[in-house]
Amino acid sequence: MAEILFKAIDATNPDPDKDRRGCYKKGYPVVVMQGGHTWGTEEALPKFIIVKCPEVTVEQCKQYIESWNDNFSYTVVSQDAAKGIYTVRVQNDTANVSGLNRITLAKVEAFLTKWGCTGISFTSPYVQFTFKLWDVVRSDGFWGKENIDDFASFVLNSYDSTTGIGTITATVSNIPEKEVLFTIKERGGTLISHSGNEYQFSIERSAIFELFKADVKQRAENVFCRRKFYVSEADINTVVSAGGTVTLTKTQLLNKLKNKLTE
Amino acid sequence: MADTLKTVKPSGGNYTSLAAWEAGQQCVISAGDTQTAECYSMADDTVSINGWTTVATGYIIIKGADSDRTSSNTGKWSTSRYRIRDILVMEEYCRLVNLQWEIYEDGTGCETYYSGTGATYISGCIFKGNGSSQKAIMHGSNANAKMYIWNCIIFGLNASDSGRRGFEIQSGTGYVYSTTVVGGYYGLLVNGGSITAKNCYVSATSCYDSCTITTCASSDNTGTPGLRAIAADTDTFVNVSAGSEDYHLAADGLSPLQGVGTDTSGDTAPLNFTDDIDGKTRTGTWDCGADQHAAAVAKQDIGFLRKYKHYLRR
Repeated sequence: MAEILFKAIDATNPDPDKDRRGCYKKGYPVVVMQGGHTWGTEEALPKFIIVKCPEVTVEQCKQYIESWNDNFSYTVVSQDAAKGIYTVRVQNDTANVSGLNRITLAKVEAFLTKWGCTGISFTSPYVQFTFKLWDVVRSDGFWGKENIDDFASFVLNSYDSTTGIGTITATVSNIPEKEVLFTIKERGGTLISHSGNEYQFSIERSAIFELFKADVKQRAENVFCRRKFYVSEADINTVVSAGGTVTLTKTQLLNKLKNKLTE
Repeated sequence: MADTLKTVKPSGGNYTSLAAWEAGQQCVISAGDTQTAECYSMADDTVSINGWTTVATGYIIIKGADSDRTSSNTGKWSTSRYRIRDILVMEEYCRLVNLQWEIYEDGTGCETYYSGTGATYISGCIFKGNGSSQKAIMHGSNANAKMYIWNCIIFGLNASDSGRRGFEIQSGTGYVYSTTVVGGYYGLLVNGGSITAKNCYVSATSCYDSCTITTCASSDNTGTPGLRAIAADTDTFVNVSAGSEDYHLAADGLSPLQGVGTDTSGDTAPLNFTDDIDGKTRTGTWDCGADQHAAAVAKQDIGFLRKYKHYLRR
């Protein structure tokens, strides 16, 4: 048996982005507790209503209190493995049916540029770009440092298109040795030799692409909306009129919950 | 000026979870005002601080209840105080005080991601990993944002996996003062931005990675000269056994962290604090780590006592 706390009034923020991604609106589910939960004095009208549902478990309800988050997916459209050049499309898998939260150029362009990607273009519903391994391993994004060109120069010693392993020498100035060694390791590289300010390392192409995707996921993917599911204002008003608490069957609850992704 | 204080309690309070407090109280905080959540002993789940407007003088405080703090449960992990799994901070100017984190598998205790240039404060807090937890604290906000951490204890992170990190900064400026970190592959790690650490103790595979340090002790050789190769054992702390960790300094007054720190009370606020994780005033020569040993001992006496500690401890 579960009890769900729903917001009964809007929270608002003058910043429209914060308002959408952060503010709990009337009808948003907030938390789920076990049946029989003793709610706090503020977890009641006028701020909240409580829906009791004996037929569902807390675990079953947890999906309804998830945020609507970005989730980018990547498709390699074409490749020249011998040169380590890939044409890639990225799109947001959590755009809804009517196109809300589709990927935009503004959302990813800065990240792609930081990672040395070129030929960036937008054709709804995706952004397409060229991912050259050699450009990427020399990029600000790879090294986690702005204007890496001011600190380092790079030489590609070899690239095996069959194994996808490249060997690179980085000549670095004004970056502590520990930081350079950490970055090479963190980015999936293997240090071959190190002498003075020269660092020779090898790196495999799939590691680079995975790292790129992980970085974009962390830095560019965001909460789009505070909640993915909600119930209508009319349904909240009905419960408010009834005193702020209602008991529903599983079917009734599922009929009232709306998924923004399918709208 | 108004401080709106609400309690988070399992029963008899305003809210029964921090998430509900956040949903009920989120607002635009005016200069001079604060919104405080006072959290009482219970296990809580997760919360995302998001959708607020804060300013330097109008901020959010999430704190463990003072009345839950006793001499036997403060400065070490305790189930008789408030515990939460993770807090995602997406707004600047949030202060987290005297809280405990029980970081769940593969999770991170406190992450900050915000576009503003303001600061986050974490003080008097304890982060307990479970071996597979990722990071205790991660700051990845605006390049001009700041993270201040002091009087905190981080422990229980896996030391063999390079993804396990006590505090990682990815951008912005981090200050870590008088904090104890035991466990994790990286103790304090710069992965973008910078960290200034003072009076800390770290035991990890790599203790201070690219940090600027002042009187910081370590289990490896990255600490301040003279404060290196100090093991996290019972010569240093009260108890290091899994499940009953107590990172107060060794009761006999001979901990190598005792009397080797720097008085930072003259540093810029909020780093001008003068107490320790127990709320006890730091007197005499400061110690390294979150705890200041109760009895101040003259520095020359500590040296003598330490030299003969194995005889004295018999």
